[in-house]
Amino acid sequence: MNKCKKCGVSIVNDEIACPLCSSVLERDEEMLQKEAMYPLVTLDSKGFRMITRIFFLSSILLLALLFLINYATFNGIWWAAICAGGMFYAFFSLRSILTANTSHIMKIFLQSIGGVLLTVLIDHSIGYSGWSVNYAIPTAVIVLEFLIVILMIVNRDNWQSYLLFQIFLIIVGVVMLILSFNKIVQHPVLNIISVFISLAIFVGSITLGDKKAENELKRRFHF
Amino acid sequence: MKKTKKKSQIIKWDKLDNTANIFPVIASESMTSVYRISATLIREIDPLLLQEALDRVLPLFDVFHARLRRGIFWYYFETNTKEAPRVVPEKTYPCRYISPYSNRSYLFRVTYYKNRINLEVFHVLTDGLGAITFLKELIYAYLRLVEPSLKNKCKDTLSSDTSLNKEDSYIKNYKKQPAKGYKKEKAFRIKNEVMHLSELGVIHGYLNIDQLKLVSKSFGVSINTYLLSVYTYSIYKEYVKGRLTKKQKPIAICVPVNLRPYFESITTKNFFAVISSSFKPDKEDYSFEEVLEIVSKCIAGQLNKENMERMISYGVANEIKWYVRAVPLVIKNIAVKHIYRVSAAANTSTLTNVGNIELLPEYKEFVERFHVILSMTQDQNIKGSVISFDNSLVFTISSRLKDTSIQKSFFRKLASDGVDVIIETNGVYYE
Repeated sequence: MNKCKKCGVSIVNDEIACPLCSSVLERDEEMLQKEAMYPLVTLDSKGFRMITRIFFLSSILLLALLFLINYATFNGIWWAAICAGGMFYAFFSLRSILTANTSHIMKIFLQSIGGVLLTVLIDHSIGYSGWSVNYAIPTAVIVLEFLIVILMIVNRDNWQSYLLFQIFLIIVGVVMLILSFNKIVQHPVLNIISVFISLAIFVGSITLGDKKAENELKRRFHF
Repeated sequence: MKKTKKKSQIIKWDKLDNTANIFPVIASESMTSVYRISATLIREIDPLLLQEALDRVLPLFDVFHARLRRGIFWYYFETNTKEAPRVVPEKTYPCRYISPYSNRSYLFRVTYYKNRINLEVFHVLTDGLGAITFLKELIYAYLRLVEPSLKNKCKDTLSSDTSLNKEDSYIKNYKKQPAKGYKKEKAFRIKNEVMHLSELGVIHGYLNIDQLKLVSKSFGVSINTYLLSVYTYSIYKEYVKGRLTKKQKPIAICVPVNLRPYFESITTKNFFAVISSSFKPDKEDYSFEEVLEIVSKCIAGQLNKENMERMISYGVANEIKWYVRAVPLVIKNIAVKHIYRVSAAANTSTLTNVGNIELLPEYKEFVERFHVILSMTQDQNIKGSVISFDNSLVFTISSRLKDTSIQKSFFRKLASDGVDVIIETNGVYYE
């Protein structure tokens, strides 16, 4: 074992200097642990972080340029805002997809929210004719409902995990119907269809799921 | 011990214990809330057999055989129906983040390196005692597979000493009484250049228990109090002495206490409380003996059942209020983060002793030593941990500080008091 005269301690690592005070060690070859008991770790995240930063910085520069061009050639449409929304959505989506810190259900949920906000932004940027709330959002709800059904079949051991997402989609549909009373949504037909599909899938899941569905809802709503 | 596949498919659910509620909220890549307990065996690890041992043991431990799920009002555990997590070679620094959505949704990982088996646990599952119970059974199962002499000698079942109890002992032992809130006074914070987010510096000090007993006896205190005092003194000497300010904050060391002996609990879930040793320097020069006296007085006043009951009361009383329960999880999380931030700022560092590991005599000869490593938390860039086995105590200092002066002072003091110190590092300080 190596010895540090200054610290008065023995060191098992096969090194020249003391890890505590950096003094040169007295070597004792006999008791020395030749093999390190910890692996040599290489940090590989630096490259990824650098790429993210470069992407982020170039996006900001590009957006600044687009807004400048949009301002200089303004013809009544803030198309640069759509580009900004699209880029933000792309950045947010990539981050959400690549991170391991959220479930796939949460990823779909966040993607949906991001997508909906983007459509509303585009609608507003080109003079708001209401297509985002009349058609885009209910279509997104219907697509998500069918996606959920597919996921429930694929992940059939754990199909009940999607019940909460189904409830969320019903709430979205109901909110859209309420907005139709305030005339914010002017063509509610697609919204009515989306609520009907959402309710049908939910009721179907509860009926067919029986005890499993009941337990899932109990767990999710326990307080 | 046969694989219980049918049993594992029954989805059970369970609430998080009172302490566990905080960990899913605060855990992240930078503050992982993961600790490592590892066992070094006498022979190199066979990964396939270690995987087989894990496959056999895991379904028997409900606390570990779980995944974390998010409800509308609370997080909860649910039986994890996936296969056991893959046993993999150690390739990263210790105590990296365990995402509830990776690692087959398990909240612990098992890695190996040469002779060592590492069990890394997200604190939401259990504390050190619960993890040791699981690790011991994993080691027993593994040794029964690799050591021919044990195959006939030992039954292929869990040890009768092992508890599978998973009660929430906080709720069980809660008594309505004036509660003791979390400490709020800000503590001295050790600031210096830090390592990369993924790095963690580890220095193990191997100490002889007989020598430690003699030294601590000569100071008239227990081994725990002696080590805590040396640790406090080292921080004082390296970061406060000669730099005293008018509004000097105390050096407060958070000391987790195992509550099981106080309340006769055998739960494998979290059941600990934290007391704090506080030393507020108000003059320029303190000797070690003075620091030791302050620390031992501070600790002695807190280590009693009444104090522990008051601490339990505070946590549980908040959890069971109807208006707290009715608040959606998203909002609860904001409040929990705030409470944690305030209480974390009240401590300079943490020092934990997970105690003495006792193995069944048939298995003991195959195990050399145990280590425990803590991850870093907000405002705490250095932490100490203690574990003992077979007359040897391993004092580990994990840190993200590049500077090792506290470690130097700590181990030099022990050596100068007459304790033989053998040091081993994870190599970070040589890179």
